[in-house]
Amino acid sequence: MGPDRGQPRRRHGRAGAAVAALAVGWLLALGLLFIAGHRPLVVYSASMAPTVDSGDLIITRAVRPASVAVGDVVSFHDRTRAGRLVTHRVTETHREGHRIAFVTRGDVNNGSERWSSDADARLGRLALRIPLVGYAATWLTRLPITLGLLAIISVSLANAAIAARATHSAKRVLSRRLPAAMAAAAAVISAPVALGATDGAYSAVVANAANSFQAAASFCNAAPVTVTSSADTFVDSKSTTTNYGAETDIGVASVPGENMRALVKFPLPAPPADPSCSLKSAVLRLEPTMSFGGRTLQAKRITAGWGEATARWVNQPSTTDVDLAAAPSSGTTTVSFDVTAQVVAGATDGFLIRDSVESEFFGVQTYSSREGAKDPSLVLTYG
Amino acid sequence: MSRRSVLTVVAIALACVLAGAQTWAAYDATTASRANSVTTGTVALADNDSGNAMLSLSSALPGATDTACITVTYTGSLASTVRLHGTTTGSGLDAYLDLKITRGSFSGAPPAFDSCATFSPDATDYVGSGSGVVYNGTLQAFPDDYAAGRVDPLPAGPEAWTSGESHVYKVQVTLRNNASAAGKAATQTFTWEARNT
Repeated sequence: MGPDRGQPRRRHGRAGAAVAALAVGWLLALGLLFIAGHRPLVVYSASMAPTVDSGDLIITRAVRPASVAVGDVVSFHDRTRAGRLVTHRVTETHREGHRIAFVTRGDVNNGSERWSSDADARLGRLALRIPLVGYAATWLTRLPITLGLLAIISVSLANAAIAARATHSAKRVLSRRLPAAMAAAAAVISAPVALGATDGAYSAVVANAANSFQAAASFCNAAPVTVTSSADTFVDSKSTTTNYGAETDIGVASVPGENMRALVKFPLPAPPADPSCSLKSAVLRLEPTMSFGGRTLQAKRITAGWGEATARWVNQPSTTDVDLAAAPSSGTTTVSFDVTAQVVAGATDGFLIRDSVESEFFGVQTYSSREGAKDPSLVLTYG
Repeated sequence: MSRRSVLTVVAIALACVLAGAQTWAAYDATTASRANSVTTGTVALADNDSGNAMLSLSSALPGATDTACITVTYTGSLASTVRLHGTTTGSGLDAYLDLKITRGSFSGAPPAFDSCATFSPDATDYVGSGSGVVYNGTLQAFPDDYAAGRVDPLPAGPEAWTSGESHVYKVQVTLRNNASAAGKAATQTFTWEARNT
């Protein structure tokens, strides 16, 4: 072997050793990363710029979802993007039973992803960013490039063997070069396998907010119903057996020895057919014919039957004080009692009207009966 | 093996490398190459509501309805698909509100927001509810998020929206005749969300 052939051979030997060292170093680094629960990913979009940008190589660390906090950048499989691996920042997180729910968003996006992960699963959390290395990795891991590099390794090995055969030392050369070639081939093959990709994931939203819808408190459109008395009279404690059913007035009095009480009954109408309707108010109205005002009158619900032509002080019907209604008397204006609760309870026998404090020195007040000019009335309102 | 043979093998290897470079370039030229290429660009949407709500019902009785039109324009550079969804708050009126969303365009000069004058629906019967209709159901059943969102339009979609593309949406709500709805309320946000394909 002459000096003119020995120089290139030594250079080839040094290059081969360097390639082998590089390959072994690469494989060792990959192995350590995976053992430590890390994964290298090439970033294919700028949806997280400038924190993570297109062409970066990032190292993510596998962590439990519960350890991920708002602000962390995580890699997850987005089912709305066909399960592709997406790397975005966590903006919300909370536990939902055995799952951890997340809201994530790319820093340049205004659209968010809502997803959840089993609490026992693992997510990738950004641990390290290596700018621009992803571009090289993208190029180097193309299938044609991989095949090309493998071809070059094979050709180098074959070339060395051919050269050695001339000196009858092929076996020795192959045994020395083969491990380096295999390491280089393993490094080339491992790159596309080991390097994952995190995808382009841009999003944007426009929203029209604060559209407000309010339904009416009731859908009932039944008109108010006014009924007039079907029977009315009054009874007098001074004339306990006299009936006043034919009088044109009904009297209420608070006088020692002569208290008067009015009895009034209405034909209650059937409730509206519309099922959305219910009784909202019932107002008993009496029109004064001789009134002084200044007194409080009471309307009690009658709980027993009575007749306009037969009612007297001595046989006046029983009443209840439950839901008793009160109203001030007035000299000229209508006296209105809110008897809603009494009608709901069932006021089929009508109402007894009396002074709230009887047997005082106060005169008689009279109101028109149905035989008079203005019938007592009951106004029913539905809603 | 002769020196010529070695050179032949090396040439083949180089051809492979060059072919790889060309394939890589071709991949980057198309958005369909997502898995192998770096994606750069923007996804952006705009509307013409100037922050104003488009629908309102107050003290509504059965049959009460409100209709509005909103124009949504895609201004991003990456082709995207768009989904419709929204969020609801309130006391449960959404179960009694019928919602119909129709996609179309204005046949003449665009009227002021939220008028539907000159609105013309798309010719396609997307969901079997009439020309241009992309959603026809209760407000309660309207999707809440992107994952469940109504792909625009279905079933022809998903359509890839491109920069400058614009569509008008006619949105109509009608109160059902159900006494259980009385006194209830709902507040709705309608969202159009674009994600690159």
